[in-house]
Amino acid sequence: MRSISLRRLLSKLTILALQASPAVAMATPSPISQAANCDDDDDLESDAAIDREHLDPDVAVYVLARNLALALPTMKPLDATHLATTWALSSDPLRRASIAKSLEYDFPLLGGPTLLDHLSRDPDPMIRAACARAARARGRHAILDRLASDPDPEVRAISQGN
Amino acid sequence: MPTVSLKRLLTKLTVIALAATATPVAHAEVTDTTLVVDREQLDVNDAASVLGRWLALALDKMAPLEATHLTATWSLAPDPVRRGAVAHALEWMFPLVGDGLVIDHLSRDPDPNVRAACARAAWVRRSTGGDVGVLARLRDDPDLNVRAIALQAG
Repeated sequence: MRSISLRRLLSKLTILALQASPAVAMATPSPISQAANCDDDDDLESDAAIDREHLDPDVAVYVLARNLALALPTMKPLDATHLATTWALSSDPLRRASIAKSLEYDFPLLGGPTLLDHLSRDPDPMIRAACARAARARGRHAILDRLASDPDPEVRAISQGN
Repeated sequence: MPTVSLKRLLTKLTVIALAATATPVAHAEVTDTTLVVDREQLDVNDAASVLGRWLALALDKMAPLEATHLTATWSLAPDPVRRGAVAHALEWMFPLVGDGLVIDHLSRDPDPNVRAACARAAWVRRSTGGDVGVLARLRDDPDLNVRAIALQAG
């Protein structure tokens, strides 16, 4: 099975987030940076399993989500929606969990409610729990109401605000 | 460069549109935009138009997130046939999350046929938020046909 290291993925997300800073945006791109960025899409948008090395899944999801939440608002809206939907539809639970957890941060994302609704039906309770927290942060009461009767006790507790 | 035939892509989209399941899923071949559409004897706009009709039928049947993902993937594709197909698909009326964003993106496409389809799509979807200032902008488009459509719609 193809895989990509967590470090490489974090670097890509950091580059995306930094590309929007004024200093970088005004600078003329060097051939080296262009070459470094030419395979961004392949890494970020592939469905390769993430090699999280020694990290626990929870920690890996946390760092990825934080970097996603920083990168997505700096991207063009359609690119951000494309990346977010690609991860939400990924077969890798780490990618799905990361995008779910990133929605706990408050940033605009077109299609965010649809994304949250989709992920809140995920078979993995960790992802549904992240969705419950995101739904609470983003005021998606219909999702919270549905998750309040979730089979997983943690998801239920978060949805009910306990 | 790897290709996928137009006929094959149409078949895949038909299968999605006719799928018995409630939420059909797009096949990898449909979402793989590294494959260039082999349009045989058809010109780019005709191929995009045909593909757009079947894409509209398929998108209407898909789960909202899948539909948004497929639309965004094709809108960002290097192949003008796929981008044109999305623009033509949006001329048909069906609900799509982010349709305004997609129309806005494609209305800046270098291909005037794609921009013309976007002008028509923005007009068709104006009552559901599909026109986020696209028609007003396209009234000053360098292409005569695009300008005419935008002016007529306005």
